[in-house]
Amino acid sequence: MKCPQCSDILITLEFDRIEIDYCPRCEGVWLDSGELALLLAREGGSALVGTFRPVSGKERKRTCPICSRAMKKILAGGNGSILLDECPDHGLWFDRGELKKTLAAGCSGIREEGREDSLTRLLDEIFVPCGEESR
Amino acid sequence: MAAGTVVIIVLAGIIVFGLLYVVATYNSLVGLRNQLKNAWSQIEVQLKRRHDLIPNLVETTRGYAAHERQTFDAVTSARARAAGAKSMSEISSAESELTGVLSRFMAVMENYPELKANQNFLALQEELTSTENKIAFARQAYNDQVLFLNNKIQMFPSNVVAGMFNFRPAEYFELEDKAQAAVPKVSF
Amino acid sequence: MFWSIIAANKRKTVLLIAAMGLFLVLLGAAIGVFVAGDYHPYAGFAGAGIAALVWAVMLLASLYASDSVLLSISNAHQVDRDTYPQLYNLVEEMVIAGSLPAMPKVYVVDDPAPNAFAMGKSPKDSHICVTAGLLAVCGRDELQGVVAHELGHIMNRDLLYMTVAATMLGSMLLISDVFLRSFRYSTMRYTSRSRRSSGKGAVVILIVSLVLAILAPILARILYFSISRKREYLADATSARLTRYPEGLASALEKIGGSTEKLVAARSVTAPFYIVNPTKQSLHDSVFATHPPLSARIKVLRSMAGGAGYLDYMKAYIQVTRKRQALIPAADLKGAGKVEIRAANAAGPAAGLTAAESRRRAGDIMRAVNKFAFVTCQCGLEIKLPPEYAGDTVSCPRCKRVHSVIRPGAKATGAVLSASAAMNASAAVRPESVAQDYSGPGHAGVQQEKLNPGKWQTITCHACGRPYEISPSFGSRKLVCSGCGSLILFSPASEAVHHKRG
Ligand SMILES: [Zn+2]
Ligand SMILES: [Zn+2]
Ligand SMILES: [Zn+2]
Ligand SMILES: [Zn+2]
Repeated sequence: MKCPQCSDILITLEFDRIEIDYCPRCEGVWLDSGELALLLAREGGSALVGTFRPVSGKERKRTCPICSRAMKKILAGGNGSILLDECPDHGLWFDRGELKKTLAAGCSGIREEGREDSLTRLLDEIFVPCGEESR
Repeated sequence: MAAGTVVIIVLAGIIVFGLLYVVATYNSLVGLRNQLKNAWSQIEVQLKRRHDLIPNLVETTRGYAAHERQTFDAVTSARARAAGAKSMSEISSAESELTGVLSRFMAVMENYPELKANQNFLALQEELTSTENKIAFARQAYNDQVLFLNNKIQMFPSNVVAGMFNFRPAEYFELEDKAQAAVPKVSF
Repeated sequence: MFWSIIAANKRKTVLLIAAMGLFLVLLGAAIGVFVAGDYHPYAGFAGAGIAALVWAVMLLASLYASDSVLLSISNAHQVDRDTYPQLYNLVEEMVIAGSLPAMPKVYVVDDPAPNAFAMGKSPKDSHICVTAGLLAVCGRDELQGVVAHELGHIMNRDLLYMTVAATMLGSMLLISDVFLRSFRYSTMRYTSRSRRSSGKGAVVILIVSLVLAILAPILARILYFSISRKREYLADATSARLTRYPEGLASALEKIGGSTEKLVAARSVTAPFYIVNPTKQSLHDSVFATHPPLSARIKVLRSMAGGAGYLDYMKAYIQVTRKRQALIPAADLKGAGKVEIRAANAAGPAAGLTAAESRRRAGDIMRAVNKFAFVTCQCGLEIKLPPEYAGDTVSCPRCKRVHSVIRPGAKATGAVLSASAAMNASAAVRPESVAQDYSGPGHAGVQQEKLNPGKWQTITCHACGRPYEISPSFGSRKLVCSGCGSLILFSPASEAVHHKRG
């Protein structure tokens, strides 16, 4: 699979039973369809998926790494601040940092007192948050 | 036609038929014996494979269970005896013993859960399981062949031909050990 | 060996080829007369000739090229001992048990739905295919049951008949489709010329050919599907007898039937080849069902109380299905010895996997088959690199450690199996399984280890007991244990440490 952003080869990362495709160059992340729902379900933030809405984006159209068709732009998060790319058949593309923002938006409403948000922590562990010190 | 001629023709016919029968039976006996040799060599290949696996297995597990000295020694010496066995009965008893010792060895290794994270060990465990299975299946195939051959050698009229050319009944290959629960036993 | 069933299969194949030939020629003649009979007196013969040509091409194709075509439309990738040692071993075991003349080629099908099938017209040249999903959910005994079932089809020569039937069915569907198209086209013309033509004859031919065209696919299906049902029971019987463990296949069938995954690569033409009908359209006991009901097959296997031989299977079959008709001809049962059921293999089945987990395992199996490189970082992150990945090293996105990439196929010297093979074997192992309570020989201070260059080596941190696999290309002089931070020094030379997840 090739990165929709920079055409580098995507590599697969697995950590604690979560599997994502990752671009080592631009640090974008590809999630197979359903994988995000699975991720959010583990954290109780499934409602987020319902907030996705299509939008005619100004951002450059990207192609799906699986079927090579143009992906649709969608907005996610409560205030609609995150612009994602979605192939309705295959999955979602997150630019650098977008996955973390999306997950944070998905879980913010349900965070309980004393319960650490393990998912955001996990992603913090997988990725250097802003990517400054990458190679 | 004279009665004598008829008798001669009938006698000649019987002799020709008898000769043909002897040739055919001899050929099928030889064929069976060759198939038996093939089946035996399959067993030998698998037994050899098991002998080759044991040093690897000991090497991989030693670091985890250093104080199980007795178990390691038992496996190593049983392997040495099996590798040195010559006659059928020697091989049979030495390999039976090795099967038993190996299954006890693997049971002891079950106590070391960190071995389950060792890829070398898991690969060797699979190889050993498969080799044990192959020995069992090859043994059944061999014993099936022994049954065929022995029937032919002992039953009338083929036993006459077998006696003429000195065919001896073959021995069954048995592996008996109380500990070898995983190895199938077959009776006929 | 079911000699009379093998003979019957060969006979049926010849009969099928002849019957199909006759049928196609008649159909071709009817089409010829109907389409151009008014203008050309020999149109019927021409149609028959074309049909005969089509039949000959189909026959040749089914005998010589069908395997590779059917394999390629099923997404099958060939594997060897290194890519999936357990599967290869299981096939070898069954080849020994069944005394087959040659080792079948082994394939993994890129599909998360558990299923399996075999191809090949004779035991000398055969193919066994299992899906990645099957490998993900089945334990050793279950997989062995499935492999033996497929080998049963090969030994009974079921595949000869099925391959020919599949190709013939394909051609019939194609031809009748062409005919129905031309019929729609010619009816429009027919109204304008009907007054001039001889009338009655054309109408009769029209009706006959229409009936033929409609019947062709139905007949083909009935013929072909109804036959593949009894053979499933027979292959189950062979599997029980070869493995001597009917429960293995029974539990595999249960898992296959219980799966919610849908097989992507399955087509109606290839459906009868699979161990369990992948299209799931079968009404329970209709004539169109390609397979007998799964529940009955499982029940028969589980009712085999006395032993694993053919006689035991027969008894169980009669008891469960209440059919009077003998499943196995008496002639084939002569000399069938008594076979005792063996104990389960120690290697337990991978039970209780969730759908997502088994999907992930299937994905890892397909990656191994497709020659991905696997690197496990000390920090616990697993990195899976596609073969297109160009670099010799990869930097862990989590902790920035740099790892050298060991390509599958680069054999690990000294070890029995390659790194990718071992990868598969440990697919089930999760970090939690590494014992924390290990009480190895404790040493304060610096631990010294001798390095064995060019060999896989297992060392254990003396302080916390964490095991490390040192790869043959390991060249560093020290290692900081990720578990407790203590230092391990090596006597002689890279940085490729494959940490056992922990
Ligand atoms: Zn990129
Ligand atoms: Zn797509
Ligand atoms: Zn089948
Ligand atoms: Zn790392």
